[in-house]
Amino acid sequence: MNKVLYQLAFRNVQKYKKHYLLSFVIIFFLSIFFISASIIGDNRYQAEKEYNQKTYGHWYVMFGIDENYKSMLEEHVQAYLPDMEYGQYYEQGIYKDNKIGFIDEVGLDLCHLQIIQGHYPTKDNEIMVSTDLSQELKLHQKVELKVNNNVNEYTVVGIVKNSQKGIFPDIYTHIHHGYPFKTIFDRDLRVNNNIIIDPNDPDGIIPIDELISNEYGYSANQSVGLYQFSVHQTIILVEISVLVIFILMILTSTSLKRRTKEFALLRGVGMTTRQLFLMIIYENIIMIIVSIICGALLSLGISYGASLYLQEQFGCFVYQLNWIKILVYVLFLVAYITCSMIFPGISSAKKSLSGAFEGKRFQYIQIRYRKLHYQKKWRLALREMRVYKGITICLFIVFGLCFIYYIGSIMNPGMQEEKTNRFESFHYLEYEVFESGEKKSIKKLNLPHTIEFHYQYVGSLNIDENGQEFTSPIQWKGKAVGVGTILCIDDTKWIDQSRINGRKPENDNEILLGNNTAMFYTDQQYNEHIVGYLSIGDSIEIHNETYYIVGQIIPNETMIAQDGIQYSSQFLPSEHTLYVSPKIYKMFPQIDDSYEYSTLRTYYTTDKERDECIEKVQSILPWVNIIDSDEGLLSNNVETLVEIEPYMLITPMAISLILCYFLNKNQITNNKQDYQLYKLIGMTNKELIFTQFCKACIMTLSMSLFGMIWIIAFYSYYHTTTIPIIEYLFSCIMILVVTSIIYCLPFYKILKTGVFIERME
Amino acid sequence: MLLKAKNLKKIYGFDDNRVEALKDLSIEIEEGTFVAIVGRSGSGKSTLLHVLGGLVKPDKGEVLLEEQSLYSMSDDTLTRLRRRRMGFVFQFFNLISTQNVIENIVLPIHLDNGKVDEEYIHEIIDLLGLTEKKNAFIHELSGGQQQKVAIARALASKPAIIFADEPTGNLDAKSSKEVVDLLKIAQRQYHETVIMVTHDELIASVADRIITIEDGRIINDTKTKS
Repeated sequence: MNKVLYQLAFRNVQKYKKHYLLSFVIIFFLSIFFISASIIGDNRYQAEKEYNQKTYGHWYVMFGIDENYKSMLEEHVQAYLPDMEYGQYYEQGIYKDNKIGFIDEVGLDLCHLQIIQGHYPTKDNEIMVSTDLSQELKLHQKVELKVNNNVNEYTVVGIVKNSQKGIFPDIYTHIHHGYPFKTIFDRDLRVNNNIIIDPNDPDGIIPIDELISNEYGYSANQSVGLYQFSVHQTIILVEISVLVIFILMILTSTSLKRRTKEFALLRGVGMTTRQLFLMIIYENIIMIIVSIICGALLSLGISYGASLYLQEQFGCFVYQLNWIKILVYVLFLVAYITCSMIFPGISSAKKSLSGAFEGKRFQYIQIRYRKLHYQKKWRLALREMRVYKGITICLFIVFGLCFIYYIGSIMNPGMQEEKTNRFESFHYLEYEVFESGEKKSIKKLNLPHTIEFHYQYVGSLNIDENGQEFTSPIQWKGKAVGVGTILCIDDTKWIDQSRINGRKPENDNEILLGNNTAMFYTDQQYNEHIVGYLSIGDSIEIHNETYYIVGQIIPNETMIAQDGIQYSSQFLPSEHTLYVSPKIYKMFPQIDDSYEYSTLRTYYTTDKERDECIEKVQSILPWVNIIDSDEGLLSNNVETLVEIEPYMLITPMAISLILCYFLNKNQITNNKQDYQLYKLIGMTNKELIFTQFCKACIMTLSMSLFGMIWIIAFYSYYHTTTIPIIEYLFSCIMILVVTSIIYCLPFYKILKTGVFIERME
Repeated sequence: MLLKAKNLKKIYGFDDNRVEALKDLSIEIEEGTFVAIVGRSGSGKSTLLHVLGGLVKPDKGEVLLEEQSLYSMSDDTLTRLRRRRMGFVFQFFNLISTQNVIENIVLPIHLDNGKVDEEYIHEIIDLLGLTEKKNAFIHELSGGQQQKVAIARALASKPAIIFADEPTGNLDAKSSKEVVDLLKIAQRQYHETVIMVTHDELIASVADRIITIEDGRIINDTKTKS
């Protein structure tokens, strides 16, 4: 039995090759995309890894410190970081442009400096040389070298594979001193460009220089980039997969509908629904397998070409094929594409008999249309949209997503800022100054983008400098409540640098919220009790005036490259904070230093600007410690780093619209008989095209209604004052134009070919 | 009685577009008879044939073939019954174009996982004059030859009844006569019951019984001398 079905399926694929061509092309490109993305991704990773290992060795961080701090650092590491591995490196001189130095065995191991011949020097007159230099200085050869300004004769006892020429020496001695002294750590233990041994001790900071972070191991961006890449790739693959399934379902359904009579005949001569369904699935599986095999073979070629390109980039050729992974991809593609065929297959198999023989109701349809002729064209359009709901749903989803994204991005200014700030480095200098005179001196320097933050603690019950109790001016549900920190927005610069959910305050009555800002009251025993958390849309009363929360600052965190990704403290006191205007800030009693704090920060963009700032500040206040946060990336967490970029949304939408155009064209061609009947009952070409235009109008109207609801929802949630009327109207017009093209143009083109008339004849 | 249909009702469309194709129609067909159903276009004759053949479910009424109610069966059972006990000849879309003549003829048997009676099949092929064309593909045949193949296929599974829906509708006069003669031979030689829908009264005249339908009702039921 199956043999007959296979045979029928195979011959049908040959017969209906034109029907299957589009599906073939889509699956072919999909498999190329899936498989080559996988192979190229793996090969690129390997090539990059090989390149990095060859160039930089394994990961480490190396920096120079003053010899005086050496014992202090060792004590600190032994006491607090017992698991930390570290090596020592002294620079000791130069021999014909080659560095001479000492690295202990731990250091060699950390930097992946492998001894490939001989042994590590055990005596002061023994040396190792790098592979490059071993061409000149052979094993056991004696050579005269100037080490630490002393000239002596040394014997080459080992050859070390030096993958990082210029960073590490080419000649390794066994002499344990030199200048400068560097340490090589297996992890990063620094904060900015200092190592803080004891945060409470001003002398507990070790300045470091000549910092080298291994680019392979320490590139946090690379780790995040890889993560982002994989998440982006997954998003794209999921988008494409969903899109492809949808398209294939429509294509298969359309293609099968054309064959209703053939299926009816097969059912008539005794083919069961199951047999018919199996035959359809076999046909599709044949087409799917052929297209995936073709796609996979071409992917191998494409990825080979990509490997050649990567060879130019990384200097090493990697072309590894993970057959199991490829097989898994192929099977996955076959399975999920086949799944997309199941519904149209079952539907066609079930409806084949009634679809064909009840299709004999030509005469009745005629009567029906004759009656329909007197109905409004709008009703006809609506009926057609309901009948061909695939395209209608597709358009509705595409335009709906466009509306959500476009209008949402306009109405939420935070989203715009997020886009501009995301992934950009966030550089600033923070001055550890506590005297107001010092602050004034720094301010007088007119440094670029220098901002002072004022913030104070507001509890529900506080004690002033005279030991008197006083309650918070904030009232909530008739009770005095504390909120933690109140920060004064006296300069909007840092707000511009921040990411905000909701929107920025537009007047003095609007305030911003930090993360997890709770309201609490303090009892007589000075225990604090949380009474609720604030969120966007809430209001609070201060001195009987109402203030609205319009947005929330997303905590900005500094991402520091370490082993993996770790986060240091936040830039701003974002937790448990209210961000208020200076006018509101003044309503709170500024008690003393124990309640009020301020900090001074200069944002810079270039190293030159930074150096100038440091120089200026140090010239007047040489004792002030300046923290340079030049590694900061604006980010909330890794998840939020991954966002759907506009192209990820726009590209599938554009593809969807183009496909909708062709699907509609296909549908019109398939239903020529209907349009022939319309003409038969006296509808003119103009009326027919108008009916198509009515469909475009109905789609536009429903989308504009959807957009209106979306805007109202957005407005009620965020209290935004920005109502994008022009953008809304523009979107509606664009939808009308696009839908008109999708509905009317293919119809007009088919009408022009005169095919409807031919059919009538 | 081989085939019985009681109070058949079939409606297409709804509301303003409602059309009653069969109006409380009852019919009985005896074994071994050649029945012609005639009527004007849109009178409901094809609908009746499809309902009798188990192809279109009526809205009301029942059809009994050899005392088995067709529409109380499951779809699969009905399909199996159709491929074993019924043969169909349509006006268009009669044959599977991807199969050659012999494959088309034996298709119902293969679908039923049955064993092909080679001798019988060749007998039919000889009878219908298709011996030279038995390995030809459908596009290589004339319209008349295609209908002959359809008749051969209908006879292949030795059915109890053959339904022919305008089998000559697409043929010239000579081929039409040949096809109807073959149906007649099939009836006589293999004791088949044939129900043929036609609008051509001359073609219908070869039948033992002529049923005339108008507006979904039988208006005339005549037995002929042939």
